[in-house]
Amino acid sequence: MNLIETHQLARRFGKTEAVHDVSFQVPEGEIYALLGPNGAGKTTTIQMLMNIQQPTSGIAKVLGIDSTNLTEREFQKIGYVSENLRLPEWMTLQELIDYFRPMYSTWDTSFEEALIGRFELPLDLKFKHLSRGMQMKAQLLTSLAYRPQLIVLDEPFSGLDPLTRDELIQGILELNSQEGWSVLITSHDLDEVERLSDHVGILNKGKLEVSEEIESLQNRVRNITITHTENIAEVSPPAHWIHYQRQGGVSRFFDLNYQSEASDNLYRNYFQNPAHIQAETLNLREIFVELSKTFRQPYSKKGVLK
Amino acid sequence: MNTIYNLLKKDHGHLKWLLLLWCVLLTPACLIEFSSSDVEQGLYQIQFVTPFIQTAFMALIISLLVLEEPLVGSRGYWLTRPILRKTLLISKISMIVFYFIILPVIVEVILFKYKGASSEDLIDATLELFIKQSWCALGITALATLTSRFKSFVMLFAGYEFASYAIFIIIPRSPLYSKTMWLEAEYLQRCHHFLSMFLIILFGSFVIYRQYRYQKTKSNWIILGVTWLITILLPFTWNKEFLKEPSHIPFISPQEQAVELHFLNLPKFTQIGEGSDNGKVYKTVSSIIDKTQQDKSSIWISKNAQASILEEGKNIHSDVTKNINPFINPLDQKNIFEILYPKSKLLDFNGDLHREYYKRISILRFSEEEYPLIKRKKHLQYLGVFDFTQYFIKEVGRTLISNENTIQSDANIDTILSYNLVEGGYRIKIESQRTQLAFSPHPEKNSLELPGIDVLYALYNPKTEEILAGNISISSSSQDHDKILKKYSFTLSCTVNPQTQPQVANSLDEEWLKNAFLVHCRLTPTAKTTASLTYDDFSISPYP
Repeated sequence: MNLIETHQLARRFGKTEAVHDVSFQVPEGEIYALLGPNGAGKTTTIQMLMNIQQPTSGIAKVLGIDSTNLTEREFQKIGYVSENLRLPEWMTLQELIDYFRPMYSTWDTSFEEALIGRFELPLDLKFKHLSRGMQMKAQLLTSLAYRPQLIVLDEPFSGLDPLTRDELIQGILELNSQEGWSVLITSHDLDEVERLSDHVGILNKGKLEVSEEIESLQNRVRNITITHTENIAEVSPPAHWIHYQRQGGVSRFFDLNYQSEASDNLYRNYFQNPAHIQAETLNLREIFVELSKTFRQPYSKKGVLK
Repeated sequence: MNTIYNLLKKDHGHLKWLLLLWCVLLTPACLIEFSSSDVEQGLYQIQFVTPFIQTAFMALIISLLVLEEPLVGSRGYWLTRPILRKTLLISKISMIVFYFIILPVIVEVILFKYKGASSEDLIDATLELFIKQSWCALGITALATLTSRFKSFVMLFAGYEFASYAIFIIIPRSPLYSKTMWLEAEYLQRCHHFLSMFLIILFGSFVIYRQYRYQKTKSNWIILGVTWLITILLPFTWNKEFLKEPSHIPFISPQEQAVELHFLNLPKFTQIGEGSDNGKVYKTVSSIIDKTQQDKSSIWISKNAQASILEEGKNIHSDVTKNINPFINPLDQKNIFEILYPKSKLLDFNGDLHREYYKRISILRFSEEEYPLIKRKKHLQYLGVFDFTQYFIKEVGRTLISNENTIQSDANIDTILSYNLVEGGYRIKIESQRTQLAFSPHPEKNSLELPGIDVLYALYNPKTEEILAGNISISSSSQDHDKILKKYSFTLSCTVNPQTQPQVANSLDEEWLKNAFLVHCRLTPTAKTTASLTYDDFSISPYP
């Protein structure tokens, strides 16, 4: 069962298309990371999923319900943490917990205490006196203590020190494995996301360019280096070879559609039985960077990709 | 219900000190009513400032309350929590209604009750107060809901106040504004509120448009359409309501008028100002109608109602007992008197009807040319033309003027509260509502027999139309002259000369005193007074 499902989801701001025909699914028990450069439409997508903004067109279903119809019953099962949310600054964590606790029928006090201990949060300090990291932890605590089915994290690591990031990731991973919770996360921190996620979606200027399992993506996208004779004719690379470069007898490119044997055969055809073929596996950061380079296409005046 | 309680608990925790301070701010009016005279003056001054502070406080608390869970923007923590918008609305509105509508209304109603308002009047007043408080509190709430941050709210509130003030300035005023400003203030206030509302709706619809223009759902289009429709139609209703001339003004003849004027003591006294417009003269004689002491067919005017007359070349201040009589001839068709009062019960002029509660009326004098113009003012209620001649002759017109018209007087009448027959005369307790009594620097000389007297006293019984002008002198008095609205005690020695005043001598008893007023008259230094002023000298002379 998919806890989140979008179909051609779109959001326009005037003539600017913030999100354009985005379709993806977050299966139950999986961690899905939504990546993309600034202004890619990650937060807008999540806000549409959380019914904070309404889509211009398309459908978003959360917990099987149209996101525009989400009510307090569904929000009992959703934990949402965002750097954009403002906690009441005058409150202490204890007051916030006391305020939220009666709202959730599934609030687990022992789990709440465990989380307080894990995050080492002060209960009696007002939020205005807490650091950003502490505030994010407090948000996380109040979004997890009722054991939600779905956790949505919008840039949870921004502004956090590495230690706190590590703690957060560790916590999410543990909870995911123990409780089988589903998580949708957006972040710029690709290394953390790689550690955390099962699935990844890459948004670029409102378009979802990639949406698949990280393992599958890493198998599919390879850094190819081919050593061949210098006198072969110039090749015209297929569309899925990106950043193709040839220097004498060495050609380098990224194959976005690598399939070990079939791809090797293709390379042999193109490069007339090359001496050596190297298909290097990339980490998520490298894949994202290379893909992002291809996204850099000129804008039209209307702000829509040509 | 649980969530509402939870929200209320949280908001009270957040705003407890501000709410406490708000409750304290509601008390100055009470303190004035219930305090001792020593602190009364200070509190009276505070009362002028408190409405502004109260409004500022109300804006602060309501904005903090609303912006805790902002409806606009995407940063509200509550947006993804199991809190229904309906629940939020109930919780916030119930707090606003309780603290900023019900509580102030209760305080005012208690004050009215203390002042002696009847149950019927209390119901009227409660309704008026409720509407006024609601307008203010809910207006601020509406502004707060349109913003997402306190900073934006402050800017919007300031902008709104500035814009509404600008609107207030450009509201067209009638040619007779200077004369009827006390009455037109209410009309202007209504225009002001009306245009402010227009401004809010205009701005609100703009915000709604900005928020929802990308969401082409049916309901959003309907909301937007209705808002714009109201915005467009509002000015038309304004024109219809305020600018259209009435087709018919009822006329009540003096004979049919069901209005009686009496001079009585009233618990409160309000002084109305005066003014002129480019050298043109206008005059207001205003007073308080004490609804608590009137029967259905009467309007009561305070006997000490202040009036001011500004004539070209003259600047004469007098009280109503005098200026009606010597300076104005109501029978002269060039001077037409009318009694007018604000028709609307929603708000009085200056918007503080609820403070005084008493209705104010104004008696205005208009020229023949002006009269048709003023008759067209729809927002003024025409009550009728009064025959002041008869009235003042009958009830008051005993201006103490000598038969040769050489003594100018400044007569005042005080009500006798109680009297006791003591040796040498009656000990009389008087209630005075003037800031100062016309005491002579030489009280022992306050006798008719002495030449060059400054002040003379008489007892006047309007029922029998008799004046006791015998030997009346102050033998003692309380010394708290500087206190306002205080009661004074005098002991007057009254000696009646049976030869000069046989009627009074015969009738001077408790029953006579019960209906009597103390009349005291300041005489000018040039007064041609002799030791032989008698009862006849107190002639009834409405027109000198």
